[in-house]
Amino acid sequence: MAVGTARTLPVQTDDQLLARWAAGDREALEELFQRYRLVAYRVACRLLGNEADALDAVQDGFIKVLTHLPGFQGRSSFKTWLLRVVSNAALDFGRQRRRRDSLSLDGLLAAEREIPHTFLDPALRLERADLRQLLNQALATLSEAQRRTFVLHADAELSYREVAEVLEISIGTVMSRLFYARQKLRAFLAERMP
Amino acid sequence: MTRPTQFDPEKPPLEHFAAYADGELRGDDLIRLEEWLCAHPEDAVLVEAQQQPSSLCRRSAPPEPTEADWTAAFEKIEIGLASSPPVPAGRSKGWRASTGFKVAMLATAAAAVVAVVLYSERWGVRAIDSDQPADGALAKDQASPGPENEILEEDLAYLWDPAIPILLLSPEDVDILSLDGADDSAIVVGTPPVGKTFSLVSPGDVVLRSAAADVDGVVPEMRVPPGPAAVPMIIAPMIGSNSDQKKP
Repeated sequence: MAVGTARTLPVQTDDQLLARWAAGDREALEELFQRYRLVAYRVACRLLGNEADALDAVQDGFIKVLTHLPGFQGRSSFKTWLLRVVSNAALDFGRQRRRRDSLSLDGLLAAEREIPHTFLDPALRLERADLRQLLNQALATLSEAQRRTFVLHADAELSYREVAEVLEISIGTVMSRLFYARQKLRAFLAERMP
Repeated sequence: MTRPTQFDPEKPPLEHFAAYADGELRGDDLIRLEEWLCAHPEDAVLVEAQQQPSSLCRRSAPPEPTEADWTAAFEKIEIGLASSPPVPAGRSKGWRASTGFKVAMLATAAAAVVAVVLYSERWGVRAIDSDQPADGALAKDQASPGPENEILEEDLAYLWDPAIPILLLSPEDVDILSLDGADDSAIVVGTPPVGKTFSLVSPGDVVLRSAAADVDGVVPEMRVPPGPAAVPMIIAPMIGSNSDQKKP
């Protein structure tokens, strides 16, 4: 049996990648994008409650972060800053969408029509999409601050310290928001899940 | 109707149950909570209740975009970066200063009108990090507008155009100190549009922490929905509460 030696390239830090990108290295930007695109997308998706605008929020977030890089370096990690900006962008998209919806009322009516029929039959197994839809509706009952805190912790899998850094709040506030957010989510879900 | 649980001073704060469920509790808090759970196994439900929503979240992750979607997104980022050169470090702060001041002026103008509408006698958020008077820190304490900062007619029109957002505070910008039944005619700090979830507070119930745009340039905003019920939603005393807003 031939024995080979696996050669692994050292993983570069975000700062190193940013420095390479600043020097004109396109691949560094691509690597950064690949590193954080999914977590950013998950956060945006959950805050928006749909996938349609999530990619736009991620794009906006990356562009904002990278164009403002000179003014921000050192204040926090790239990841937490990116997630802060992406979540802001997502909430902004959400507000714009709600305005559009409220003008026509179509969006709200459609949203109301969407859930109940899926859960009329308690024996029906919740498909992943249904579960996601239900969770999105539960999240919509939270305040924006609670929703953001929960999503950053549950979807982005940030530690309390990182969530506190993203939102510029204390760890105690993170704890408190998470507790009450999850109490509320659980109450909402308990009424709708078999 | 269930009776509220009796307050037990020995019981760890409820948020510690959340932190425990997430493995984020440390030191004395952790010991105290574990001792409590040993003595009160019935409270284990509080920990379990904290785990369920997070578990559901993991089980219902949104579908990942295709590689083609990612590629298209990356290309748009590159195009966006090419058309938006990096903002130098100093510019952001300058923008915040001038915009912050304008925000303050706009908010003050709005607040003054709101105050008239509400006949409120209780304005007076305690300003922090400020050398301005804390009580009644409204427009009367504001320096006269200079050429750079004067309120233009178009700004006032902007305030009253129901189709355009008014710059406001976000819930993260304030600490709510108290809430009571008398607060229902006061101001709103919350998520627009009003009509969904929001918190009612009076000015004396909040401490203003900041009033500038976020680092990414996103300014909290609120749209004024049509109708008289739309009025009581503006938190006024942004003046003098943030060093960014002081005149040079």
